[in-house]
Amino acid sequence: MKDDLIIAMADLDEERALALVKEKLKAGETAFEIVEQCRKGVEIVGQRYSEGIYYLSDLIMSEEIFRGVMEIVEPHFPQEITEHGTKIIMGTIEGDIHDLGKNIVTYLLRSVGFNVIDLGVDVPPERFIKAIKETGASILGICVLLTFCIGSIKKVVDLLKETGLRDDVVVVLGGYPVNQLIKEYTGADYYANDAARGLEIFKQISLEKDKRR
Amino acid sequence: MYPSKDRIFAAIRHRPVNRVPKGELCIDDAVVKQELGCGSVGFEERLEFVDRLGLDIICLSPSYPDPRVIPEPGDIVWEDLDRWVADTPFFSFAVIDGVFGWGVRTLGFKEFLTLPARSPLSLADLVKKVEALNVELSGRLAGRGIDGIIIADDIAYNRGLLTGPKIMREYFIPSLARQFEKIAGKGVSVFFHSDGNYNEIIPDLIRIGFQGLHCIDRNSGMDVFKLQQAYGEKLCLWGTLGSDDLARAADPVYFNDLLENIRLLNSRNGFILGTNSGLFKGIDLGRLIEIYKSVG
Repeated sequence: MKDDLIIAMADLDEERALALVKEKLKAGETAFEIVEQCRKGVEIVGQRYSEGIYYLSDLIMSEEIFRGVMEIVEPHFPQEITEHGTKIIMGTIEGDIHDLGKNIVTYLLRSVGFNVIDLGVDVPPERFIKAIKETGASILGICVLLTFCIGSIKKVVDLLKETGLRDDVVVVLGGYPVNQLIKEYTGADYYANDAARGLEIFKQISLEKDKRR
Repeated sequence: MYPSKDRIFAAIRHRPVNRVPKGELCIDDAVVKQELGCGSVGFEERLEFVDRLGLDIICLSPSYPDPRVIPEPGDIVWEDLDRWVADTPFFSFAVIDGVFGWGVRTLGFKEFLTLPARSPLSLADLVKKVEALNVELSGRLAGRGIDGIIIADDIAYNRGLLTGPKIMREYFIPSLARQFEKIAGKGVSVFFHSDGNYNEIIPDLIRIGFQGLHCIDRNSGMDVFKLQQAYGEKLCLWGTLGSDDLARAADPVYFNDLLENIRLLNSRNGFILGTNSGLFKGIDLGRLIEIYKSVG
């Protein structure tokens, strides 16, 4: 059944979710397909959280289950060159400790050859700027789940302007709550609510940058 | 003339008081140093500071040998407790940690919050240990003359409870009830503190018998007026001042409205004024003193 993993993830049934992942790999499903099913399950968790059905501990539990899933599927991703691919700075914004979305996108980006520098969670705006300066990366991915942290994302974009880096860096927002309004408020360039869309955006940006070289 | 202690007892018993009762859950040494211009902070400096602010309460926090290990009750130090109790007119509260506090410190945030799903037996064991510690500790504190105990446990954040009410009612609420019964049985007042929005379990806290709540943070959805209307006869509400109040009170109109609201809350009895956060470096202490002095 195609929805079984989605349901197990959504219901926070760790034991069943991990068993299903192993079964699906044996049955020949790709790591990407499995991650996509888990993502859909996690999306339901996010919705239930927004509706007040789930609590913060449930969000954390879903992250933990997903982490376990990734440990199982990671060796099954096609590995491409990552050291020399387009550099992307990735991190969850200051005040937010949720790294599920960021981790999914990071895995996917690395699996298609991007060189992702993951700054982790609760990343202050200044640290994003420092990492861009140190690495010369021209793409920045900022993840957020908690809406009250949006102001810190705006601060990152403002700092990019203040330091003269804004024209060289493309800013992509990712996370359940981001939308066009938040993109405009923060001054970011793109946004994505799901990992698959995020991956497409990063690929498109990279292609455009290659064309301009 | 009400001495401080009687004023707080009156507030807890929902009786009228001659001026607004005031208290701070915690006072950082840095704030005392800055206000008094002193190099170190001991009993005398704290006493002068509390007097200067016109507070009625002194809150005493424990010093643990290792904050990441649940200690033996006898290993916990309560600095100057005997002097505060015997030599000062203030209502004395001892602040003791709850299961969430110990769980997060000993296990880490993620591991503790996933414990009900992954290892309910470990959680039950943790609850049992904290409960035993708090009951024993409170007995000793009551024996030394403390007036009240605050079980301080951050079970919530600005959006709501950290973990769902089902888990709260399975593990934490029954433990709080057992702790309350034994602690209140020693003849001390028992309050509960949590940051954030814990509206969802206030009826449970009332059923347990808690006499008061500290930290009524409007920015987390805890509306002190609604709480007073709903539970004012059962609970003494303590807190309400946020850092935004102190910032906005620079505006005379806001300042006067703030004083009026505080007096209104006080007029309905069962109210103690204080900041939600306690006093930490960076707080606008001048403005807070102005509010405290002006409100009467």
